[in-house]
Amino acid sequence: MTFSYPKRTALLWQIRISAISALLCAVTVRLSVVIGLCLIAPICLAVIFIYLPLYFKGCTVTITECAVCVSRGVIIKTTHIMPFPRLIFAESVTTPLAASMRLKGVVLRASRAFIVIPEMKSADADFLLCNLKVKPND
Amino acid sequence: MIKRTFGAHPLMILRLMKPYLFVLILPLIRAVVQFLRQGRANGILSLEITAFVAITAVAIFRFRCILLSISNNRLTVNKGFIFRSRSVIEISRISSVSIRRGPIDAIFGSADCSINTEAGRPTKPDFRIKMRLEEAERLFSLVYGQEKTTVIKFSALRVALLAAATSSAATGLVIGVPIANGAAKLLGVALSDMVISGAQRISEQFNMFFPLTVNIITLLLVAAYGISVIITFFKHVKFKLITGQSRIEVQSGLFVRKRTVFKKHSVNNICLQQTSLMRAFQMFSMRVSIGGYGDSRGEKAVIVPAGRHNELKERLKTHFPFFRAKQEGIKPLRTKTNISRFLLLPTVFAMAIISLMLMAMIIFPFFDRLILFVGIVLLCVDLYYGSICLRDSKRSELVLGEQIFAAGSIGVTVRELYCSRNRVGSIKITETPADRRLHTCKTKIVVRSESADSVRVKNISLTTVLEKIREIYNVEV
Repeated sequence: MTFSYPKRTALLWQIRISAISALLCAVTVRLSVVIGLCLIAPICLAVIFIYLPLYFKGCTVTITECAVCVSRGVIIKTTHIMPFPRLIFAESVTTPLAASMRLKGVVLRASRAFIVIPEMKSADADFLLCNLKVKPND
Repeated sequence: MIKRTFGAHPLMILRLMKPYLFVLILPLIRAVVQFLRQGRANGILSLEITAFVAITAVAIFRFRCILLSISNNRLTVNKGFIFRSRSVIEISRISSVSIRRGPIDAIFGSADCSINTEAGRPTKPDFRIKMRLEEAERLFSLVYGQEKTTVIKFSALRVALLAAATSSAATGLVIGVPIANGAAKLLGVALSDMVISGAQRISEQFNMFFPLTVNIITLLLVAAYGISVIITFFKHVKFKLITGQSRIEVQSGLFVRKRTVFKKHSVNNICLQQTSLMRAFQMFSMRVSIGGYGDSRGEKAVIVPAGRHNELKERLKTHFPFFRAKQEGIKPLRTKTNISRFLLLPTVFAMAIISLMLMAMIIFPFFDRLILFVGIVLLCVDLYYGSICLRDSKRSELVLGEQIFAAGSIGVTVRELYCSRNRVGSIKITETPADRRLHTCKTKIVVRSESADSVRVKNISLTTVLEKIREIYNVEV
């Protein structure tokens, strides 16, 4: 079973990055107008309008019989695989903004390791939490 | 399974406000006290009050959002007010649950409940919530069920031996010094000066035997060690071990009573350890290593504070399959050459200590008594280390099979390790030039766990070790 991200997830992160970028640009412009407007602002705009949509378009979560696979990345693509026997528990995390968009993030925890799955639809996140095949300890 | 839901105790509000204690709450209390005493408020008092009210309100909302529920063999933990999280844990994945009750908990009917899994950080419980005592007990019984148990109690004397054997002056200093400094600030006295001048007065009486500096340092270290012993004793006194078919429960503590439960299948390995003091009484302490145990470093739980070797095995072999009758082990050969190899390191250390001592006495003649004293102490430690090495030449052993057993030493501590074959993390075989000539090796067994308990068995037959590894792991080396 494969889950992909709704457009709302990209929008949520665009809002977050925009707020941080606005703060960063304000600070940088105060120190140096040239660096602020010619360097920081274009980078932030590129991240918000080009990188983030591409990132979430290519991001998928796949549940197989024996593992959870999370694939993501734009320039450098990574795939995280967590076999079910190693999975200890799963956690969903939400913020007020994400909750208003009916989105929830999921953290899968293994022994001294974890995978963070960015905000997906609340229904998908709840399904993931309740249906992960966490096997009893041997 | 019937659903059960539990909330937090109101005392949890104070825990949630604790991170702001020094930054906001204490300065606010000081400002209010100043206002009441002198009728004068500092400029930011109103801001502090506003921040205090806001933090209290957030803490109350966070307290209201804490919810634990058990259904369908899963424990769900909901927490957070602005940033909400919901954790779903299979009950079989819970490593341990512990309940801690201090004097304040006894007054308010609350208990500190810690739930641990292997996924958490080693020094911090995964979930630590202050609950009502009866709800915490009910959570316990729902997670672990009810089963027939055997209770094994241990006397205060054995706990005292454990405390004396495992305490250190360093721990005493780390705990005692901040308390002494805090007390001194509160009372407005120079407590540290008083302590040092007292130590000096006592040390002067032994000046003719030992240097004054040595006397003062020894006295302070002994005092710090005493503090550590007292704290460890009260932490473990009234020690009780309750074993069931599938679970183990450890209860200990006088002022703060701690009760921890874990499943037997969570146990990675068992260690029997004998420190130098325990060796004088011919006793061992038994510890188990559990994945994700508690908030103590190294994931170790004390199962038996002190007991004789045979007594431990007799009493606990039915509860731990590791203790069952083992096969014949691989032991070092009892030849003169092999025994002298065991005594090589202590001999080298002794020669080095004597050489350094003589050199130091020539270079620094003014400190000759101090150097002589330190040298004698080091030689005594080396002598003891030599006795441990001699013991290893007779008693060290390695059994490789379905159950792994390794007996050796780590420094001056005698250690025996028991675990099942599939809990071994790594086996390291080392051959020095002398080993290659005599066809022996040093084998180190490391258990697959965060604490990575290990034992090294020296100077045993390489061929036999490789044969056994091939047999049980199907690995050709």
